[in-house]
Amino acid sequence: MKYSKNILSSMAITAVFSTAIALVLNFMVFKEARFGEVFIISQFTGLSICFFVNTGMIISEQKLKKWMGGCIALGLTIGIIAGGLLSIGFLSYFHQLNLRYYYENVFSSIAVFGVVFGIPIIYFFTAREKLIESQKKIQNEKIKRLTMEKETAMTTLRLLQAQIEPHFLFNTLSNVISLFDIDVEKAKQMLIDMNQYLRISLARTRQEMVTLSQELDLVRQYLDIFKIRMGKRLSYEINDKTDRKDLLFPPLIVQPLVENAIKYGLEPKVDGGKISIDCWIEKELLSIVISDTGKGLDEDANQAGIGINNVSKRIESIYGNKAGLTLTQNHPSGIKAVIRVPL
Amino acid sequence: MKKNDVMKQISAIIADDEENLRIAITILLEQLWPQLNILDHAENGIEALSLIEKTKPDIAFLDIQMPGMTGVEVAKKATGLCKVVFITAYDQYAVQAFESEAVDYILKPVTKERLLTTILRLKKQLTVKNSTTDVDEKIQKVIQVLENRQLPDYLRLVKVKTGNNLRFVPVSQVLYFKAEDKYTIVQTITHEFLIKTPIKELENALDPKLFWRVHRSSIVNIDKIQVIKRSFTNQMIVGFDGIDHTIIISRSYEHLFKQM
Repeated sequence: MKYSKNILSSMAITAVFSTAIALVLNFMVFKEARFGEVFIISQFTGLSICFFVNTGMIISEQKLKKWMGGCIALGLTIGIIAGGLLSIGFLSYFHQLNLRYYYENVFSSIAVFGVVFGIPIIYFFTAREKLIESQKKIQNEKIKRLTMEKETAMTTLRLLQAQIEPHFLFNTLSNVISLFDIDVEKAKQMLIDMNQYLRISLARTRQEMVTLSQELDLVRQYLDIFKIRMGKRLSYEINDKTDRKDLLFPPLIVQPLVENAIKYGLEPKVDGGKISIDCWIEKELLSIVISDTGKGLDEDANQAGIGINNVSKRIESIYGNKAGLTLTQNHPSGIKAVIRVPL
Repeated sequence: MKKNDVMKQISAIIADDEENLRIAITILLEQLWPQLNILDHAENGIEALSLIEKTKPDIAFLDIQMPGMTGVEVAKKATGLCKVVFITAYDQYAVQAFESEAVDYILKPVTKERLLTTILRLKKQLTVKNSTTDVDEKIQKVIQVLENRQLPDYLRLVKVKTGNNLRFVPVSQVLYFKAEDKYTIVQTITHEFLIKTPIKELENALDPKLFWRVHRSSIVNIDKIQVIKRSFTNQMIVGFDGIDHTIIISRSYEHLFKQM
C-alpha cells in the first residue's frame, strides 16, 4: 500500500522532471530534433530509471541494508538500459532502423544525460524520503515521550496501590488487634514495622529511582510483617553483595516479586517455606535473584502472571532490551526470579 | 437455653492459618460464649477437614484463605456435618455472596459485637431442629457463586522447557508465536523456545486485545511490532524490535492492520 503509493507519486514527480529535461535538451542541445521525440525519449528514460531505482531501494531496505548505494547504482544502470531500449524501439517505429547510428548517438546521449540528470534527481528523492522519515521519527518520539509521561503518572498510582494493597492492610491490622490480647510486645513490633513500611512507601511514590538498599529495606519491613503473621511458616534472608550503598534502582520491581512469592508460593503451601534475595554485581551487570521454596506455579500461573508481566514491562520500559527478567523453577520446589540490569 | 446446654454441650473447631488470629478468636469466644467447647484448632484446610470428620463439632469457624484447601472447599466437603461460620479478611466478592444468601460470616478483625450477633444466631439455629437442611442449601449456593467467580483469565506465563528446567516466560516478553511442524515457536528478543501447545489453543488462551492471529500459523504481540510493510511481492509483513526475522500477514488478516 505505502510503497505502491510512493512509487506512483515519485513517478508523477519524475514525469514533471523529464518534461523539463526534454525542454532544456530540445532548446539547447538537440536543436534540430523534433520536440515530440525528445519528450518521449526523456519520459521513457526518466520513468524507467525511476522505476528501477525505486525497486532497488525497496530491495535494499528489505534484504540488503548495507548495499543501498549499490542497489541504487544498479537500478540507475538498468533504468538507463531499459529506457534506451524503449526509446530505440520507439524511434525505429518511425525511422529506418540503423543500429550503429542508434548505438553511437541515441544510446550514448541517453546514457550521458541519464547519469547527469538522474543522479541529482535521485539525490532529491532520497533526501525527500529521509526528510519524511525523520519527520515520522520526530512524531514517534513525541508519542513515545507522552506515553512515557502518562506511564510515569500511572506508575506512581500503581506503586501506592501495590504497596498498600487493601488485603495486606486489613490482614495486618487484624493481626495487630489480635496481638493486643496475646502478646503486646509483638503487637508493638508489628505496628513499628507497619509504620516504617508505610513511611518508606509514601516517600518513594514521588521518586523515580531509589537506592537498591532502600528497596531492600522496604522488602525487609514487608517480610517482617509477614513473619509475625505466618510465624514459623516463613523464613527469609537478604544477601546484598553489591557493597554499594548508592546504587540506584527503580521501585516496584523487587517488592512485587516478593509479594508474588508469598501470595502464590508460600501462603498456599501448608508448610510454608523460605524466601532468599541475593544481589551482586558482575561485569557491569547487576543481578537480583528472588527465590522461594513455595508450591511453584501451576493453576494460579495466570493470576500470578499479572504482577510478573507488569514487572517485566517495567524493567523493559526503564532499561530497554539490555535488561531482563527470567522466571524458572527453583529446586526442589518453588520459583526463582532473576533480574539482570546494566549498571 | 440452659436445658439444651446440659443435654449436649455445643462444640466447635477453629481453622485459620495465622496463629495470632486463631488465638484471638478463641479468647473472644471464651469470653462471650463460655459454655462453648472448643475442641481443637486447625492450621490449614486439610487439617480442618480431618478435624471436622474426626471430632464432629457442631460449629466450624473457617478462615477462607487457607493453605492446602480454602475454607469454602472445606465447607463443601463437610456439608451436613456441621454449621459453618466463615471468617474472612477484606474480600468484597465473598462478602456479597454471603450477604445475598444470608450465610454467616465474620469480617477480620473480629469485633466483640459482631461475634456476639453470630453467637446468638448460632444458638437459635442449633435449638431449632430441621433448619440444618435449609442452611446447607444456602451454603451450597454460596459455594457455587464463589466457584464460578473465575473471571475469564488469560494466559500470562508460557511454560517452556529448557534442558531439565522449567521456565515461565511472561507473555509480554513474547514477540510472536509461530507454528512449525508439531511444535510452536515462542520468540522473545533473546530466545526461541519450543512448546507443544498448538496455535489454535494459544489463540483462545491469550488476551485477544494484545495477541493477534495474523496467519494460519502465527500470532503476534501487537505491543512489540516495530514496522508493518509490504514485501516485494506485495505481501504485508511485520517486523519486531530487536530481531531480524519478520512475520507474514496473510491476506485474510490484513484488514486488522488497515485501521491502524
